[in-house]
Amino acid sequence: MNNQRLIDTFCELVRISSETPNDKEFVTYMENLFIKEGAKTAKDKFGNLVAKFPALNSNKKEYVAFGGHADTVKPGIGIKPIVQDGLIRSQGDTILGADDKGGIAEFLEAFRSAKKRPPLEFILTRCEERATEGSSNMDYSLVSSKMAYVIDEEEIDSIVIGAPTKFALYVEYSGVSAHASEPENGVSAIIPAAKAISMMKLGRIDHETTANVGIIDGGQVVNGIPDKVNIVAECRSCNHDKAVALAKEMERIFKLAADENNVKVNIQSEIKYYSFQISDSHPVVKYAIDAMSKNGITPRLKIITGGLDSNNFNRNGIVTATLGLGCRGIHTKEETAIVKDMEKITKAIIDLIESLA
Amino acid sequence: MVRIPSESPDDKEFIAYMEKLLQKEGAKTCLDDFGNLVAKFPAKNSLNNEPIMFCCHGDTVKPGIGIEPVIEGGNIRSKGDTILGGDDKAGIAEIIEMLRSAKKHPPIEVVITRCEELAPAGAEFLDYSLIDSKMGYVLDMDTPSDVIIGGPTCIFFNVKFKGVPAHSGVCPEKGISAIQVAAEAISNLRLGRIDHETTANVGVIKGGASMNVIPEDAELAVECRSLNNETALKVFDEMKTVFVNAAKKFDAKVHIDATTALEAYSIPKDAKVVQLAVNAMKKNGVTPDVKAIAGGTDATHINHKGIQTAVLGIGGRMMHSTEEYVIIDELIAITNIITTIVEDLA
Repeated sequence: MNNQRLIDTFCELVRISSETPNDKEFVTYMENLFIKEGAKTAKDKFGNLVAKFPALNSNKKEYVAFGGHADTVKPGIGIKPIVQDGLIRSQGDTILGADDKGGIAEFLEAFRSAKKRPPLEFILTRCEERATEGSSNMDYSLVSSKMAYVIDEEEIDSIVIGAPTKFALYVEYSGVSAHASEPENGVSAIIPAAKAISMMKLGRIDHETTANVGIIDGGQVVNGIPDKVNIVAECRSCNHDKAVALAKEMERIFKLAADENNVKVNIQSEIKYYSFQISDSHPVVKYAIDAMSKNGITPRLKIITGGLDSNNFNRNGIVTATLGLGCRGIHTKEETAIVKDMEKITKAIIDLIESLA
Repeated sequence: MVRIPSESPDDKEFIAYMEKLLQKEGAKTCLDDFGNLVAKFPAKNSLNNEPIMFCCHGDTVKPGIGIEPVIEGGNIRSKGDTILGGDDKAGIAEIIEMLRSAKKHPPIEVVITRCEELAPAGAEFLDYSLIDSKMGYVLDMDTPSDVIIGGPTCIFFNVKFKGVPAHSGVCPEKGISAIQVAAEAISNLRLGRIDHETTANVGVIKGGASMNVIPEDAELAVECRSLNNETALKVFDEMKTVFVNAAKKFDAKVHIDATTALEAYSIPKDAKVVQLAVNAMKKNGVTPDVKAIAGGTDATHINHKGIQTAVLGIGGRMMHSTEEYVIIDELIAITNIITTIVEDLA
């Protein structure tokens, strides 16, 4: 393994901007790079990339996939990585983009360094930062693997084995506008919205379930009875059935408040991603634990509350664990990659690939 | 007059036009610091030296540029792409016609205010030392039968709740939802009709920026109004308490910023200014409708300055819309009514 090459590759990747959804150029860059490394590549309609590498010094026929996402959050244009005292940061005016180019660089270095490997696939998704849009719209017939590792967590001892189902609720109340001095002629849309929200249980519902009203926007002028209110709410649970039940309950309350206050309501409820849970004893987990332990990392099996590409991979029959890439402060201008951790996890991934061969 | 644009606050040109016109009609004029126009006409065939005031506003709402009045079927409308501007130029036309037609009248003070359609209005800044009248009329309502003798106290306030942001999926227990606080408060408020002369409304709500963040901020625009000043203040206090208590319940912060846009006034029904209008209407075959209204006019400010002032109609409908129109028969009826008023006073 070549530590300098790892950091150089990483810095090269973050210099190419790929703010969601303007990540196609970066995907093309990666496609060319993978082809140079010996891959056969294919893109689906959405622009997600699958690169297939043949086995090396191995008789294994079963593909194993690694995955990362091409896009970054904003501000991600003109990133200039600064390597100093074992840390990599931006100049302070942008994010760093370690999320997720750290993971991609680590895979590349591990792939280049591994002395043997099974047939490998790298799945590079678009628009992960926009509610995993790329992996939601992925053509999974392009993927041969039955198991995968996505490298997209901060801390390198992470093995994510579960994540929630998330519902987004878009609610619109329609009342009747009137001058505020003539309330008999109007029906306020703000009143049912407020009643509904105040009747709801929000925040932490139980150890694996949460709910939130994130946005409310209604009315135009102080002296007008407001005829429109829009609400954006969400709920999530690692237990899919609980998420479904909670979304239904929130919908019921939004409707109830509309009925009680004589206004119309339109509710759109969408599943943004589906929960998954992998057993601790699944090979995908065991191989990762062994490779990390061998490199002095004590693995932490985690169930997280956000959505990842692995939600969609798991839902489409690819048993997928998510590993850490060695950074902190993602989605902020303080985002920092830790060189030692990047090296450590890359070493673990080399061992992982070799153990799979 | 409606062809001369005067969208508030760009109404100074129209005021200058009016100043010249009223001078030609025989008035001595002056402008106050804000640009409101006061024109004084001497008495005609009358020994009564107690002046009476007639007041209209010079500005219009938007869209009021390039108005082309169209006379059609007894009505006057715009061509459809603008307001008509009858609000309040029909009233000004009626006053001018009254001045020309009245066979006798006491001294008359005509006041044209700026920026009535804005808050604060021009009448708030009017230099009342320029006016000698002790009573008067504002022409700014709809129909010839309107005699408005009261207006509300109106309190507008912004309420800003501040909570604590947190990722809604990762650590909601670290957050405080400002939207939840606002919702709790609103659902505990008395809104809509409070009593026969009092209403309350939450007009605007805005909060949060992202689905997956516990919202840090929520902001409301709220009003309460009442024909009874004390009731308005009481309701305001009650609403304030509800907002503060909701913030307390959730450990959030709240900031309330209130302005009293209008203060209630009321003229007795037997006041001379009311009786003059009532009698003039009856003489002209109109059944008077003496009432208080829940909106503000220049009369709110003028009454508080000690000039007992009723509001009369101008004969317009659908004001503040491109469908605004003026009914010619009503234009004539109102001119006759105010002519009768000044002749009776002479």
